[in-house]
Amino acid sequence: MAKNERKKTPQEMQEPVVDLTIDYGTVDTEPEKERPMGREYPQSRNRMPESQLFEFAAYHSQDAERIGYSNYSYWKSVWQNFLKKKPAVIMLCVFILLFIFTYVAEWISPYKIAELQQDNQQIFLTPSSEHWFGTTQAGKDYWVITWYATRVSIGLAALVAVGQIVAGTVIGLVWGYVRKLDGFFTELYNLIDNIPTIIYMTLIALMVGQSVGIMAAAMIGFGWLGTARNVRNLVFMYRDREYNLASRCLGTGLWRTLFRNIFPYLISVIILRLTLAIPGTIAYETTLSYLGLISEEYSLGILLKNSRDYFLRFPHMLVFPAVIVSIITITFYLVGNAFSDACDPRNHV
Amino acid sequence: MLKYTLKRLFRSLVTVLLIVSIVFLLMRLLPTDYYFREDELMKFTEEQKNERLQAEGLLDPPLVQLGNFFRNMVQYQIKKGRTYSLDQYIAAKLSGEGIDNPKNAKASWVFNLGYSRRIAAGQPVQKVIAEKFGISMRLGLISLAISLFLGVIFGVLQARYKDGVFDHIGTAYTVFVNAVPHLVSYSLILIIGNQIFGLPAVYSSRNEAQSMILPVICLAMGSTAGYMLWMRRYMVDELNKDYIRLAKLKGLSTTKIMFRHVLRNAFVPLAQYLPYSILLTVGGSLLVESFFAIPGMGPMLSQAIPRYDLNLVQAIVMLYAGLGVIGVFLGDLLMCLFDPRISLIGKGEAR
Amino acid sequence: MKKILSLVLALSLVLSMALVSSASAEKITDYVDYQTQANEIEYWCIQHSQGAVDLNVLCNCIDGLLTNDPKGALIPCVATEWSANEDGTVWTFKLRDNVKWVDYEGEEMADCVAEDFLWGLEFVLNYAKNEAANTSMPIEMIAGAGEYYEYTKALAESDNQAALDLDLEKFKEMVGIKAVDDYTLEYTLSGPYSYFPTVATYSCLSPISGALLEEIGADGYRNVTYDTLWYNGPYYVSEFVDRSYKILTANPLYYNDEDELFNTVKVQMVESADQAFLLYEAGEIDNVTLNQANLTAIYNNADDKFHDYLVEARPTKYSYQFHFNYNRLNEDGTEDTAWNTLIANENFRKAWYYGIDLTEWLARTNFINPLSCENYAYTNTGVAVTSDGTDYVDLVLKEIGLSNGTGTYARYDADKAAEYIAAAKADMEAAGVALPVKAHYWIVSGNQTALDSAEVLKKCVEDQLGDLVELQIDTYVSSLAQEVRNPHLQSFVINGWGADFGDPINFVGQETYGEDNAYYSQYYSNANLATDENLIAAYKEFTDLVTEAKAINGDLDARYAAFAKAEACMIDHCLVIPAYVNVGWTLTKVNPYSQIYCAYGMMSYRYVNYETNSDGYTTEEIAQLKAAYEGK
Repeated sequence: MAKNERKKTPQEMQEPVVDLTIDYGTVDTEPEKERPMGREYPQSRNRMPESQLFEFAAYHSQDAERIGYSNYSYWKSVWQNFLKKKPAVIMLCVFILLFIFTYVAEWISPYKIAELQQDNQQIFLTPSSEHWFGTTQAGKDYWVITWYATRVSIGLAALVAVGQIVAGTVIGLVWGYVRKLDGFFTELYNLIDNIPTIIYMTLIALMVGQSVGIMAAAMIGFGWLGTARNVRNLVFMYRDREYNLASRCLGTGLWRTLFRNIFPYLISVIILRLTLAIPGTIAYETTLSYLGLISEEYSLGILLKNSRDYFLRFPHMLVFPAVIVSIITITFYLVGNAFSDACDPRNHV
Repeated sequence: MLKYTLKRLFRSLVTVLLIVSIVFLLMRLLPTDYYFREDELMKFTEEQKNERLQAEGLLDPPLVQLGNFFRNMVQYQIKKGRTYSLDQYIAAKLSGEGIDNPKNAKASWVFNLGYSRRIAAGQPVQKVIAEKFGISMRLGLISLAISLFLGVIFGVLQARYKDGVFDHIGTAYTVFVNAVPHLVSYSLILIIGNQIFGLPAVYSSRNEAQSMILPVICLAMGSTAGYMLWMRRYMVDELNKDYIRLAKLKGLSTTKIMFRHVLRNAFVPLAQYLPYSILLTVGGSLLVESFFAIPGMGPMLSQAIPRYDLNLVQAIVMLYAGLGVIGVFLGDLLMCLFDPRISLIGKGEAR
Repeated sequence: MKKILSLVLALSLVLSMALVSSASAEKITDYVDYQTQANEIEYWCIQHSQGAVDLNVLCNCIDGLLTNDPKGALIPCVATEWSANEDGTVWTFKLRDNVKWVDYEGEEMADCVAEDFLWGLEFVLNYAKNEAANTSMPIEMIAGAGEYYEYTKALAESDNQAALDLDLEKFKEMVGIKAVDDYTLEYTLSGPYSYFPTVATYSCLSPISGALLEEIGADGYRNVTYDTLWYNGPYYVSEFVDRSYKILTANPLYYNDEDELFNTVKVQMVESADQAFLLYEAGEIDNVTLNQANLTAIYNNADDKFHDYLVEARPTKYSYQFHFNYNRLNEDGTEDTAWNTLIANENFRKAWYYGIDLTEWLARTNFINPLSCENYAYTNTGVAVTSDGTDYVDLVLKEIGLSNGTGTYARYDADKAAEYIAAAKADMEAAGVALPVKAHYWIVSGNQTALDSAEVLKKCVEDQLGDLVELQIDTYVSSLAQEVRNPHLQSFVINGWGADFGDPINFVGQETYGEDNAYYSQYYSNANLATDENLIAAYKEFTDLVTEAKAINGDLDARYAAFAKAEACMIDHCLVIPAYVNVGWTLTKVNPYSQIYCAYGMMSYRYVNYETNSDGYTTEEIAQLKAAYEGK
């Protein structure tokens, strides 16, 4: 049965149905020809009796229960939309494979990270079948070091990025929406932003300690500023639109307004910030290691910083970590963009 | 609006003073070993170190030092004679003693921020900063103008030809700039510029025009990528809206849509950062200026802090904080200017 | 248009390069040196400065009484003759009469006379003017200097301005320095210090023009800059752009016609050592110290254009040693008895001395010739020379029975080491100490080079001594002194000492037992807090020998011989163990054997009498020049 057809009722089965087969003899072969008005044309539809032209719509109790609904789920639609963008999906798979590979890489290599020894005879070797990525300035195998560093960096970056974004978004929403707190947060932002990073990072390293957890907490604690300001600017834009005024008049609670009315507009920007935060954290690691505040032995930031001294002569020391960082950056950038586009309900058709 | 402006500026002034105080106190929490140079550290006994610190007044309790700092910020100076701090002046006037100026020499009120200790020993910090911010500002403004112009245009083009060749090229450029460490890309530009085009490798004030080319390129590179990235994002978000669809249906050409409608709306979030960026070109760029040996403000702060040049650090922080605060405020105003629907005061309904 | 312009530029560059390369090697008339921006000059006031970063520039600008030659011997500067009286307490210097002060444009301002040296010393000793900088040597040696310093300190505390306004009146009364006439200077010392002339090369005895002080005042001079300073040296600073470059121009009124000067010297500030290499390649600077990557790449590639031009640098001024901590405390403040017992045991220290072959570790400093960095004596070469030309260090080496340049690491002796290791193990068992003991070695965090070297050291130490000691590498954030040394957290520190003046007391005097001014004993080895009797006995033996040697003043040869004995005793008991000297590799257009080279003083960056070659020196040329230098 065709989609729009329905079952015939017993009543209908008995009633005659008009057969409207086409009588080609009466087809109008010259439709444009001007004919004087008033003339009747045989067997055109104008001449059919009303009973044949119209039928009563019958009442079907089952169909009456059918209500108009669509099985639209926002997040399902987002996901489906995202999957349609092939490059982003591919890059996401690449990234997941990359992450898994950071664990596999050490397993398949003849060298183990915990057992690396310095060897002055083997410094700065270029990639070969013995050392797949070559050796470092201390003669250690670069393959194992690079993949270990990637693991460390991705872990730290993910933690810090998520922390920064969550904190920044919540604070930014409140900052932009609640007028009374605007002044307080603006001055807080000015305060934290203008104290030089070196000072408080050094003090934290000196007084609290240098572990990865502390560094991550410090980076989150000072990194929420950028996201918060961005979110606050956008909230300003949407805050006084009519629908929000309406919500306020109706007495909608603060958090409901923020998350239901305003937040959806921000999703695309927030996703983009999240995806940029991850390569950004890796770059920030480099700065911190310049200041001597990182306690990890290997991370992509440290490798990139060290390669700066050697790359003109031994480019392999720069190329490998840089390619990995590029892959990560490009993945998150494409995935982020695709996800942002997918989050826009206007793209859900 | 005026009332809001005044209230806000006053609040920000308080914040700036608070910032300076906090930096002041934080700096004094750093180990005093920073005060000395390495070869001094190798040879000084504890006593000698303490003598030097005491001569500078660094062994007094921090709050006392803070008080002295604020007291001495405004001074009444008699040429070749005494110098009165503000409270001393008031005390002298009130007690009927009068100002001690026997030769009736010229006297004036000065804003005293102290003397630099190791960056430019003995120079008043205002002079140190005044000599350096000019070049940083020039460099910064030129590259800001270039990167803003290019970044916006390319961002628009990226959004226009979304998922096309140009979009991908732009993405590749942005990724490259963000993934490769800055110093590496600067070294590459230096090598290409110096060995292929023969541009000078270091800045020289005698050959300013030519020797600025490479630094400007380096500086503009990063900002362009940033502007491109965000411009594209905001434009793509706008392009989806209904009024654009209507404009298309009405037959408006794509270019007109892009530039007359979308750009104006998409630019609003970017506009908030513009005054801040312009004002803070004074701060210079740490990496570019160190790399090309440009005598600007960029490396100042990160060199003054490890050298414990406290007066200079405080003065610079005060300058940056002041400019930053004004920048954020002007950014808010600019945002309101671009988009009349935004209001800072909240007539809508204050919550 | 731009394309054509850049093409034209490129073409002209190529053409000019072709022209230049066809010219033969010539002398350089306008020399370009470099410094990293972190080492920019901080104080233009030479009396106040104590750092190499300032003195490297100022030694060209302000001349004192004496200077050094490429072999480190004292030669005339402003003073032409110097002599002591019979008991060695009064030194008389005769000055030239044609020395002038010029300003930063080369204009003559005043004559340089003996009174200028009085102003200089008064400035140093005045607490209000100079804030206690550079006072240690004058106070120790010159009669009345200490009292004058205390006097100005007391005065400054009550009335700072009065202390600042002091002129030479009180100073001349109290301090042992006299301007007999305009060109004769007399110093009265507090004891017969035979090495006093070596102090005369240092900044604490530099002159200040009285006329300049009159013009700008004492605090004006304290904050002087290059354009308000007056110069009496071979160069004056005509241009200075902070952190960018400075130009030194030859002084037209320089008094010594025999010295060969450059027309100008430009000191270019660079961001880092590898940028310096790029500049050297571009021909913009005239020498560069090679970092590890560049050195490895050039050395390993025979076709590299610099392969034949590698020049080994001369050792730096510092001699580095392993300073053991005899009173280590744990992080919670309790005593680390395990380490303290182990290190107090002489067998263990001797095992360390004989049992570690440091070649691998030295290779991290100098991977082409690691043994150039070997160091078996405590004192640095060039500090003192006997009358027949033997360096003091050779005397020490003879006493301990080692020599440099044998081709292997001479100190390593496997048999002796095995002996001492066994003995140490037995001792530790008897004392109930669990082996291996942790040795804490602290390095600065974030420095990859330091970490790499530390790991190699760990390997070298644990290869032989792994049963006895386990090296643990800890990191500190910024200040070794405050984070590690003050709480006594280190097991040992590798530190270097540079000479202040030309006498062995400057070195061995830092390690004596029970003396307040023994710097290393007080701050590094905490020897005075040790409790082990054998250790204290060893220290006392060494200190007695030092006291004996100190007393000998007339006969320098006997004095040096006595000091050599004392030093040999210290090394024999392994109270401190010598580690290395720093020898790097450079590419240079200047013959390093024509430059002033002295273990003490500030003259190493004085740009006079340089032999240059605009093509750069090859390794062979340098070998010949070195042979000639040593043969002479």
